[in-house]
Amino acid sequence: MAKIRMTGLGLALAAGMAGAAAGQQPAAQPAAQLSRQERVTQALDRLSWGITPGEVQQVEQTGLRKWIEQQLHPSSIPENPVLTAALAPLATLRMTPAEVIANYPPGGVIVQMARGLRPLPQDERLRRVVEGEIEAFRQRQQAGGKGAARGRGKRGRGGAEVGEPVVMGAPALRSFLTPEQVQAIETGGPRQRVAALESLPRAARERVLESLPRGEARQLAVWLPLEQERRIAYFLMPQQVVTLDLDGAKVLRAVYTTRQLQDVLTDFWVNHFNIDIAKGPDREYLEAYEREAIRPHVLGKFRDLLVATAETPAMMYYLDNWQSVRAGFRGRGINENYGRELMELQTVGVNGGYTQKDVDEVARCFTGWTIRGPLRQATFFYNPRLHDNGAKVVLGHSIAAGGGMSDGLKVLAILAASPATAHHISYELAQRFVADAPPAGLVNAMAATYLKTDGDLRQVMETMIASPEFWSPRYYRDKVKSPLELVVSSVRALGADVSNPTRLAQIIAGMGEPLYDKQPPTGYLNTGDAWASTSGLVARMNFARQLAADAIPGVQVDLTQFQPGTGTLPEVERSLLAGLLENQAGPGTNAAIEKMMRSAPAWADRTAATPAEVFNLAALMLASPDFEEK
Amino acid sequence: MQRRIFLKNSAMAMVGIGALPTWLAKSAWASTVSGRKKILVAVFQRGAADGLNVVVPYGEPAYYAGRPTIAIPRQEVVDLDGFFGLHPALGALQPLWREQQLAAIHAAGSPDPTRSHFDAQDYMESGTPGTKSTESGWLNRALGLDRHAGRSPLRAVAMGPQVALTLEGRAPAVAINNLSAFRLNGRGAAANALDADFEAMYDASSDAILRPAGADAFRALGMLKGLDAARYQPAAGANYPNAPIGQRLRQLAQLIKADVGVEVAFADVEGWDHHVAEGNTQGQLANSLRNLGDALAAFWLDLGPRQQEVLVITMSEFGRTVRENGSRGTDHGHANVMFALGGDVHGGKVYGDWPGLEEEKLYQGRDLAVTTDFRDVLSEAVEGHLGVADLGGVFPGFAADARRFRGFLRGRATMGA
Repeated sequence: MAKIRMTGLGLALAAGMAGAAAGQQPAAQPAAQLSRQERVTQALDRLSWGITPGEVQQVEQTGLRKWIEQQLHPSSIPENPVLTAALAPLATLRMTPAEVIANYPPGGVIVQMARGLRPLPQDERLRRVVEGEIEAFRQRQQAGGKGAARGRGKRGRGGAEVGEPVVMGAPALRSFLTPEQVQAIETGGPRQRVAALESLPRAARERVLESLPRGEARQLAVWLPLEQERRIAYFLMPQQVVTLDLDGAKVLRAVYTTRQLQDVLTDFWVNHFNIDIAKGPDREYLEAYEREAIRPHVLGKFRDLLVATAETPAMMYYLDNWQSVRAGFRGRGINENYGRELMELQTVGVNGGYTQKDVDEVARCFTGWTIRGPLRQATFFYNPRLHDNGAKVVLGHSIAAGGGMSDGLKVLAILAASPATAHHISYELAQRFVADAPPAGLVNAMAATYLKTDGDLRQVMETMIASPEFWSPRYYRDKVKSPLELVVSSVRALGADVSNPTRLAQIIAGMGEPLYDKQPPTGYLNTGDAWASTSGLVARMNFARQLAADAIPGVQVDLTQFQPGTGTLPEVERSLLAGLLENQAGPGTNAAIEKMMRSAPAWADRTAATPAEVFNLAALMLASPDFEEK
Repeated sequence: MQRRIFLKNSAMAMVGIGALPTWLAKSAWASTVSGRKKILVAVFQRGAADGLNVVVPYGEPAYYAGRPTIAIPRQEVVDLDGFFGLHPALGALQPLWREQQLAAIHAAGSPDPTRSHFDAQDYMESGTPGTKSTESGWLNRALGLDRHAGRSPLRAVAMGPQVALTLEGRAPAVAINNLSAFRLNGRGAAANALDADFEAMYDASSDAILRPAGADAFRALGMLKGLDAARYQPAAGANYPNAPIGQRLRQLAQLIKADVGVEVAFADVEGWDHHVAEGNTQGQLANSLRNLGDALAAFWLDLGPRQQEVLVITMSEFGRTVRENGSRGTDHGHANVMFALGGDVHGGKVYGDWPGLEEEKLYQGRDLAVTTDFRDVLSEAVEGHLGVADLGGVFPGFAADARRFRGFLRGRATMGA
């Protein structure tokens, strides 16, 4: 567990606390090579969302090389049926943006309906929900509120009085349940109340959900299975279901998918081509964006990925290009936002050699790349009438007049083929997967592969994974996990079941990484050190304690797996150390574990460890600096 | 005197193990120095705010010529001096302007030409335009080469999930995202024992990043024990907006008033990148400004007698194009406006040389030119308010020169306005 950080900040910090650290033994020199088990750990730490119980041994048996090979070819891996079943109720995951808008109308659509610009939904159930929303919109308008601004942000309006039923006009609980049943559902802790609810036959349960007082429903929602939380949300604020599905699927996939690398890469590329859920209809566009523009291409050609992201309503809306038109068209003109971020963030990088003139020219090339019916068809659309058909010069390449939509495609091809892009993309991948300050040799090797293979991302990943740097002890367990990584890897390490990921997503947001909700186009940083803040550490320690105590709504943790039979405290300690920390704890963690063991009664090594002792050890290890890192 | 030093040192030793009773900590911070420490607060408008629609040069015909749909009409601005006026959404700041506690420095910015949000933010936060390798922020360096041992763990506080670059560096800096969640959530003796184990574990860690972060966290937690953030009642009439900036400044006011030793603080306010439908008197920019103005006004009122110690400086990575773009928004530009709000501000005045908005006066033919280097504004704040003499250490590679200071702080010799 030697940790030597070569970043300037690390050195500065280390120097700054030299006095405080005086008297400590110097860290041991890293071994020249990782052991076999460490190599497996490194691969699982970096190429997956975290190690599950027994996984290191399994991979050792299958062979590490084979495991990596499979991960690089995800379609060869059968998907986990648990995940498939968990995602099945999340209907928006399979919808087009137009279908999402029609079935879960956002604020802007409610306003259109309220003004008679759009017919009410055919579906009886949805129509009742929408009528309630229109009514609320009108009331807000009369009260002098600012329109129906509720389409923005992740949260909806919240709705009517807390005592009213979830579905307006639904019969009261007491009209079809016994007084004892009503009391069981409305009193006690959330776990007991949910258990009471779940004990009812399915049909009755659905009636209860519709008749539950709104206040109760909101409190219970995160404790219920996600499918039922969605049902409640649908009646309270339908567009919130879209967010529940997006956030929920993100967490569920990370926890359960067998195609771990594909999922980690999808997260990486969604962040690289960032879209903010809070910007206009991007919430409704996001699922299709991830599903169609990102996930299929993460191990394909970068150019295909780039073109796929450009030809989406999500990107055109987020970076404002849908508004960019040839100068003078109805008094409007170009918008340079997409053109600039396309080069700075998505391809050649800020030092990629472009000028303001290039930004202007690229923006001209993309005029007319827009959206057909942002709240209706919601499809990407090239409109030749809006396009500037003059000749352009982009990064020294001439683009002849009259090219139409091919102007933009040419720009994307020029950018994808640029050595600066090869370097920028390689740097970011190496930063995410290897080290916060990636070694230049590694980045150059990856960039060379990129250029040699026409931007084949699978081969770039292969170069990275085959490099000596990837397996260097210097970077082993030396990268601080992001909130998403920390939360998911904790759940995976405990082999916990997730019946509702909503609270986990909220916890991740509270740690500073609200999912799909990074407002600026830079996305979240790929460096781990940025997450090692005081606020973040406090949140992480609280999470470790809550998770080990099995106190997180929607998550089921069973620590007895670490206590085979009547395991004694030393046995439990060994089992947890192996399961959670791969038997590798740093000096501070070891000292704290020893202290905890010593403070247990003397008979602790002869009789079964108590649940409190098991909890304390598990919480300690999950909160340890060792677990913070991958 | 001797006794006081003893008190301070012993208090510090106890903070180190997180066992310091809050009252003792408070008295230690409140009494060891004659008068309290000055506090400098940096507010960063991420995304490049449109300074020309914040402090509006309504006396410039070119302003109206370049902005057919998004200009603020002359009759709608809150007039400041017959040439400039505040965006009407900043109405809450008008009383502070009148009381001369609020000043603006216009056409301020970075000499670096970049129009990249990311780079420009880095440059402004590090205080070293053009140099990317700087790994600390100007506000951290403003704490100087002072010994940090024996100082409050809350000397440098970032209100947000992470410590922004502005506050990163040698001095320990604490990020507090949500004050009421900034506590270990177990209850009872067993939970306290586990907390102690957590602390010991981080304390003995060999990790060069997590060990100091853990130490900072536990010291801050110890300091804030007993502070009931959820029950905080701001001063009467201080109505913080519900937006993140409102909540951040509200929590900062609570920390300042709790006397926990805050000396420098940072708060982000996001959402200024209005490329489309920026709006004029109403709209996206107006909404963002209303939140910011209301938050600053509430913060100021809430501070009450503590206003004398506090100076707030606002900044944004660059300004926006003088002419509106093809979609009724603005694109990335150059110079911007900064605000200074403080008890020692010589306010009620727009400082700086106004370069003008005629085509030939624009930077690269499209943007407001920079006539005040943002480092001169920050240098004046650091020297004049915090009393830091070594400006070279705060802005390396920049020859800070008091003769260039705009004189927005009282007691400074002023130079052209």
